[in-house]
Amino acid sequence: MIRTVGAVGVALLLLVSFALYNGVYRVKAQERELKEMDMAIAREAEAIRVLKAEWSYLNQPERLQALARRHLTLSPTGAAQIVVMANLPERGSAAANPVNSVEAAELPFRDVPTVVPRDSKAQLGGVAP
Amino acid sequence: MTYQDRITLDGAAKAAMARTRSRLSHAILAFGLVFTILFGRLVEVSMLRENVGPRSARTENDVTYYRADIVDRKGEILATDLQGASLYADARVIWDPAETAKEIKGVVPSVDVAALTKKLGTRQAFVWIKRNLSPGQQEGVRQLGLPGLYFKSEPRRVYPNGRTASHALGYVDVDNHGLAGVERGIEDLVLERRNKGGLVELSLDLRVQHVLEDELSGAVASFHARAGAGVVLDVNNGEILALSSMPDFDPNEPAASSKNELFNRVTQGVYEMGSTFKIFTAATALDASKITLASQFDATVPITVGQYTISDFHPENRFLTVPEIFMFSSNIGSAKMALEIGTPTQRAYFGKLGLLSPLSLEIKESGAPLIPKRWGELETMTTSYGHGVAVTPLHIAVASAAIVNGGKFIRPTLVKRDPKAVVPFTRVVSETTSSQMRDLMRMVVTQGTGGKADVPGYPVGGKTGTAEKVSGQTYATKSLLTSFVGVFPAKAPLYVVLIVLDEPQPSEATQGFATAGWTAAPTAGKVIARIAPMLNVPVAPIEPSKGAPTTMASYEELH
Repeated sequence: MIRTVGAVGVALLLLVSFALYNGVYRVKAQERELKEMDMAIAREAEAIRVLKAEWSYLNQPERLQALARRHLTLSPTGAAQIVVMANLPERGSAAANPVNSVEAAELPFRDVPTVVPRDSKAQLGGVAP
Repeated sequence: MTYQDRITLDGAAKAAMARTRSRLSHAILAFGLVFTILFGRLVEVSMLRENVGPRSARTENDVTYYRADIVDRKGEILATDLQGASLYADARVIWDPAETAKEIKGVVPSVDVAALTKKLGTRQAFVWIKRNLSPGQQEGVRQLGLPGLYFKSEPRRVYPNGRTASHALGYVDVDNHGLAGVERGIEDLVLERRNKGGLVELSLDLRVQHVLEDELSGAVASFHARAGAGVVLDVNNGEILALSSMPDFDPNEPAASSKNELFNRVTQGVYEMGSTFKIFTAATALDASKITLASQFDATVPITVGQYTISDFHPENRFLTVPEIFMFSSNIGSAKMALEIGTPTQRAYFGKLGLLSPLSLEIKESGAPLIPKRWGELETMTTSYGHGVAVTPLHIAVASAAIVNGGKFIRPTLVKRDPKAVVPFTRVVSETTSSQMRDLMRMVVTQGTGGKADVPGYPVGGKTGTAEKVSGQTYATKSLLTSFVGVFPAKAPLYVVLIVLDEPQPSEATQGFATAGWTAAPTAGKVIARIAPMLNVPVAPIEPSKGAPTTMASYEELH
């Protein structure tokens, strides 16, 4: 009887200590994982900040303006490119159908751009289709 | 031969022996099990686990950002904190201070070899060598492989847009304490919002700011002016969209900037602004019902008071109506208008317009107006056209906004306002006066001195100001301070643009003139032409012909 109780006791002891150690180790492992993840997140967050700052640096209006002047044939939008409702021609009138005019036929995209070439003589270079 | 062979026991002894043997085997089994587990664990730890690498003591997980990011009204980053490496030394470990200092100089050129050699020779455990190294410099120092040199990770304030908005933003010292601009003025807010990606949103618009700087620096260069100042202000809520003072500086390197560059001419500089003050004189006179638009004043001869003579820059030598006084910027007419108003009323109105006290703004670099000590009849006359009283350019912009926005004085701000919030204001002049002033300011551009400020599609109203700068006791006729305060669209203004140029020089391009109409007005016009489409300002229907502006009718009625 005592022997059985002893055996069961020892078995329980073993089981409990195994479970305890196992638990402790798992918690420690998870804590370590958490810490590593936190560090990784911090590193990523820092990297994002650096990239954001760099993006902002690369998007300096002054820099973009210089680049646009060099590589694009675009100029700032002016009031002439913005049409107000009141200035639109009546529907059905000749002015509302520019496609019928010869001038429009020659320049199929004349109504498309909201930006116009800065210099009509400017070369499009490799950009043109 | 075993022990059983040699020793034979019976009865109780034999039973005791058997029990002992059984207990022993239990114990052996138990220990064996424990050791097996330990062994298994050992194998797992040493052989089966993935290689996690060495875990060194890093500081990255306790990164603290000392300051919140500052962004413009559209969320573009104007100031942010990045981790930078700072170099320090344990001088006790340095073996040759002179040699170490020389080698560091090779990588970090800004260090002073002599001073550093002395510092490294002190045998102190902690000696700063250089704060905030660039990544390249950090790598270079690492490559030197010298003993006793260490890095400390520190947040470093970075302004990715460089000089843009430098005077509004300000700058910080090496310990990240704000020293100027909003960095100093609203430091509490910047520190409070530092956690969890908190932002401080300014009212500035980076694009508008760039345009203002681009045009202002262009004007300063082309007119060979000593300096320039410019503001773009939302008239309806006091938000400052752009603020520029030329010459400017790079807030990333404030130490490399001169006092002249650091000086904020928009909020710190007080100037006798000249004829832009006539806006306030005319508004006061109209609002206090001292005159009507049809009133006439004798401008045939200059006014002489004691040793002073008040004369006109563009003399008409006749009776002038109020719109004419305003359009041709008649000093005589304004002075006579001021006499009608009287000193106490003039003072009260100027006070309500904020012209007599420092403006409260989120930056502390703020100039207090210089007002006449004795405010008598003479001072009443001179202040009416902006002489004898000195204010900051921002004062002019804010007071002009109050005149044209329906008569409401609104405190200017550099911090973005909640679009839904009700903007507090104090009434300065009536809606009627405001409307009349808008018409008068439009006439200055269509028929008066401010013609070069007009923009097709975006009718501009405004007022020029050409002031002679005080040099010693007298006014220097050749040193001018020219300004133009422009409002657009003229009928229902949304924004005020103020341009001030310090000592612009006449040139052939300006036909020998250096007055505001030839310098500040066209600059303001260029700014408006570029920013109006950006700000979605409604385009006015194209007027049928240039000679018939919409305000012409009301002007004709007065004659």
